[in-house]
Amino acid sequence: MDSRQDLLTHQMDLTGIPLSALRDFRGPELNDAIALLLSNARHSTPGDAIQEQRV
Amino acid sequence: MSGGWNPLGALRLPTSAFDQICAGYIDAESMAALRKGQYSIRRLMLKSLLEAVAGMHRDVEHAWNLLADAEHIAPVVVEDVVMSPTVGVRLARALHDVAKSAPSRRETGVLHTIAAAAAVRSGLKCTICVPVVRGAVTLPTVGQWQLPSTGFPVGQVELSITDGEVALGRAATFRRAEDRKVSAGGQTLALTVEDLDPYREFTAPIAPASLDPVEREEWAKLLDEAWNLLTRWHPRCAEELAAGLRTLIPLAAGTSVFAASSSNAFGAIAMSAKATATQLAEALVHEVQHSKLNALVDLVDLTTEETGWVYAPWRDDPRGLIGLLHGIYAFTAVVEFWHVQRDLVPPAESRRAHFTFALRRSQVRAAVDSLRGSTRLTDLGREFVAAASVRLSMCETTSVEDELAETVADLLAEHRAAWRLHHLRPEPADVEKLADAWMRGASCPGRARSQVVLGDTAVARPRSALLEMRALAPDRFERAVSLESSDAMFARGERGHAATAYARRIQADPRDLDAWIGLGLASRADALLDQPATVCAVRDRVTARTGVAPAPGELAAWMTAS
Repeated sequence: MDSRQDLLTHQMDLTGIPLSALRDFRGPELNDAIALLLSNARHSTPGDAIQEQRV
Repeated sequence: MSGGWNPLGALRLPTSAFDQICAGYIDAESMAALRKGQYSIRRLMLKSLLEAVAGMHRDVEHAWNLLADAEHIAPVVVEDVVMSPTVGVRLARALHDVAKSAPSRRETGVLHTIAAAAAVRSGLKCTICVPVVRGAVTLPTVGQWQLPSTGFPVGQVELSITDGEVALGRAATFRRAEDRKVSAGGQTLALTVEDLDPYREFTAPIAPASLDPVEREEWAKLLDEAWNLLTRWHPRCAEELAAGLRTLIPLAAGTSVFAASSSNAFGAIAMSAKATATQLAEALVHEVQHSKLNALVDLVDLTTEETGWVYAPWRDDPRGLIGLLHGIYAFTAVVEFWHVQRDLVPPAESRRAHFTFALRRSQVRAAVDSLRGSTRLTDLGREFVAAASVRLSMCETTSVEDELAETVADLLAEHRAAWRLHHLRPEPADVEKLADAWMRGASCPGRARSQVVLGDTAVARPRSALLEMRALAPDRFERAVSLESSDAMFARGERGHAATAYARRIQADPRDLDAWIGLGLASRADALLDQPATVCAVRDRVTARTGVAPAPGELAAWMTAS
């Protein structure tokens, strides 16, 4: 068994909250996460996310 | 719920999962941890989209409520739909749209499309409007309805869904991508061969391109053979593919893309048709590494900053640091693959197998070494790179033939020098100092500072092509290098003659940049390989100021001696 602690990630865990509750959920951390996601989306370019090998 | 109280904690990644990722291959439990991270991000994307478009499209809440109802009945189904690779692509596009400008219904309709798919599979009864993309309604994990072409664009259609059946209110042809299972060695790979979904190539929507029966049979045959190979010789890689690969996207014949993956499409690999099962297996091994690393960097930081370009020995263009880590990680797995596989391939494939092993091994080593002492890596990033180095060293205990090793060394040196020539720009003030020193007959004052720029990447390397031919097809090489060109001399190993010929080319045309690299390789002039852009710039400066061009070899030797 691994004695080291789990790594704390920089992502909120949204897997445990039902979508019915998530619809109206507000909170500073969630707002920040949404703002960051939209900011990243704004600055992304189609193709940025792709890794490809060319012949 | 509102206010400061937040019941949503941070996701945790088991240390054992991170250690497994670093060590190479991960088990189903660790893959599930990465998948959970991706699912959480998809849910955040859904919520972000809802917040962004709620005021713009009236029926968005209807779609959300439908999806929530489906989740109440069948949470596993909703997760399966939301985690469909093309849903990730669509969500990313929709968010890009809403963040940039007025969102198009085609992109933001992803929410309705997901809800409809979940409603069908969970048995809900409803009506919902969904976008028509490329002449078809595509519900992820359900299938596609191709609408007859009317000559007019159709923006959306209303679906009536009852007991898992869908009525469109108009004629349409239904089809779905093929689900395929291959089993060998006690491992089963279950995946969808996706040739219909318009977002399957991770980019703007494209038309369906159904495989014909012959292509389908060929893919099935190669996949069977590749799976046999992987389960027999690379069982741990097979285990992680079984846990992580969900969708295989055949790319159209004639594409220049060998294989691809996307951080928006966890579990999906796109690839062109392969000639052999070994090639297919190698591509699967390579791409699943990207999938894992994409999921990892969504959770933890491996780098302290994202800005700045670096050199990657397998790419002609400058890369970001994360791009370099992607290459290191994927090619380390490829080196391990060939470490085992190169002695198992048929004789006709043997040369290429040994060549690929030697080339990739040297490329990854160069990349790993370039990060030694880097301050741009976090502690986790350093751990990640150190683990790749250890894995690589296990493959470095095997020697390769001297001639092959020499060819690979030349290929690496040429690639690096060409990259530096095209993408490094020396500081003009430093060039001026060097030119001054040269004209005074003083010793070289040192290296010029330089910065990385996005230069020309469409650079032909005929010398590399000859070197590669020498390694892969010696008979053809013997016939091809009978010519008295500088490249032919170099490839034959006549370095002195080649150096003279390259210097002659430079005197005839100082803009013949390939000749500068050739001179550096043939004369082993470190300055030309290390600072080719600076040597060229100093030569230009001295020529402009004196009207006399310095001999390239002498200038390079002067700078090398510094």
